[in-house]
Amino acid sequence: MLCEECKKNQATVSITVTAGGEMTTRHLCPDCMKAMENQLAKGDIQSFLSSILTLMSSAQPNEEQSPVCEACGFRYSDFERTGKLGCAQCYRAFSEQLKPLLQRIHGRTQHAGRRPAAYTPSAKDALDAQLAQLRQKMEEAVASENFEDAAKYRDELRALTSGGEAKQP
Amino acid sequence: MTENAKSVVLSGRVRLARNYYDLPFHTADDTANAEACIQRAHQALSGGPYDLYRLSEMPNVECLKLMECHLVSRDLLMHADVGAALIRNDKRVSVMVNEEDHLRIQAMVDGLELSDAAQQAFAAEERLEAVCAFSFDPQLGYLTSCPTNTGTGMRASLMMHLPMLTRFKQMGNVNQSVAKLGLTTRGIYGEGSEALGDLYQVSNQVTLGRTEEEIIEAVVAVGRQLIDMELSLRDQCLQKQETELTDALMRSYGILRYAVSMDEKEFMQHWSNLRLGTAMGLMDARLPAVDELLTMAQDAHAKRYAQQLSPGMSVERARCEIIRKTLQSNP
Repeated sequence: MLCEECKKNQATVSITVTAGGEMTTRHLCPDCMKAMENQLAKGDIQSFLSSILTLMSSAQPNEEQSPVCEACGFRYSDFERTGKLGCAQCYRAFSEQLKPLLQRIHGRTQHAGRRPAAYTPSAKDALDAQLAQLRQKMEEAVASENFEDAAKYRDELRALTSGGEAKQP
Repeated sequence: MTENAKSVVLSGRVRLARNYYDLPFHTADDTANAEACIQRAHQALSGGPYDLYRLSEMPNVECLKLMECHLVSRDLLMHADVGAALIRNDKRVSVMVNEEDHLRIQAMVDGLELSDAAQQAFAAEERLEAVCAFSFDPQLGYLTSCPTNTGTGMRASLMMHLPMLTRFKQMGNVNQSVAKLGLTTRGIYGEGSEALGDLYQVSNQVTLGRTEEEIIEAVVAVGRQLIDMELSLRDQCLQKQETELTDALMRSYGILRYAVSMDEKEFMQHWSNLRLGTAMGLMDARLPAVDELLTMAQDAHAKRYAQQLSPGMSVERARCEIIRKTLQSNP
């Protein structure tokens, strides 16, 4: 098997990264392994992230076809190179690519924390957030074989969705 | 903070990453936008008790002193031309402007009281937000330059002194188990720094999908576990290798008291022994003074001290003067 990083040498080592509860295994040659060890030893999470990104987006054929954010002109390939986004709108422009990445980093994709003081969520946003949180909790309960809690979350989910439908005229 | 916690935890910190909704993230490349960020933040906190520090208007050694006090980051120093910080009078809260994100609000506390630090950071955040709204998405939370901070934008961390876990080569295992909980351990000056002086920062890696309270609880819980592990190893070591241990610690104490010239790396090794000995009650120094010495004897502080004392004095010599003064005054 060829090294996934340089695609030149024979892969002789594999490295498994756990992020957000999900495991990713990479097969590397000794030279690329050494380079990655150096990044990690320095705690250089940006470079490490960018090398994981390169692996995940090997389907992206070239720079010109890489999606672009119309607000700031940043390309997704710029993000792959630097590990940083151009502006807040990039999150929307690259949402398709970022969603699996956020899931991998954080294990979840629904914000659960503070909100700006001036922010009042629409009824739909609030319901979506609540549903996403319940789904997440249910999946975690199933994963940890805590089926009693999982059933409780499932019932809450049903009540919320059927309640929503019942209110529709 | 309990005595147990004090003997292992030096400080706790909470930092929030925030960006103004109407400006691109990379203000470091655009002086007009960078200036807009400084103006907005300054206006928000001008009612006090915050002072504005523009790094471009300060001598390099003063900027480094702020970094050694953990009031600004190494990243901010890299953008010193546009970087600024609003620092509260008591030096417990600082707002870095034009770092990786427009604003990095951080609050420091003495130990495990991270909730306290969070409340102080939120208080500053509310004032900053009143002047201009932040980028926020109902699904993804606060939007940040790097997706590793998206969501709460919060990093809660504890600075811990773990000499026994290091000595018995347990930090590898600790790192692995901590990673499974969505947390991480690294050297004291954050990303990319070595664990000098057996000092580690334990912090959350995951910022999205958890509430701020959950993040803090997780960091504090790991902090408590590490305290127990470290203290139990200290007890075991004292029981089994009392002579070797006390000899090594007292030798470091002697060197710190009588050496005339010392580089930073050597200082950090002996400082670790001094703190361990003090925490174990083997030396009659006081922990707060020992912790303060850690900042006072770093390169930039020693350089500034040398400049004030005698212009030709080396940093290494000035460091020893500072150490001796500290250890003599609290005996």
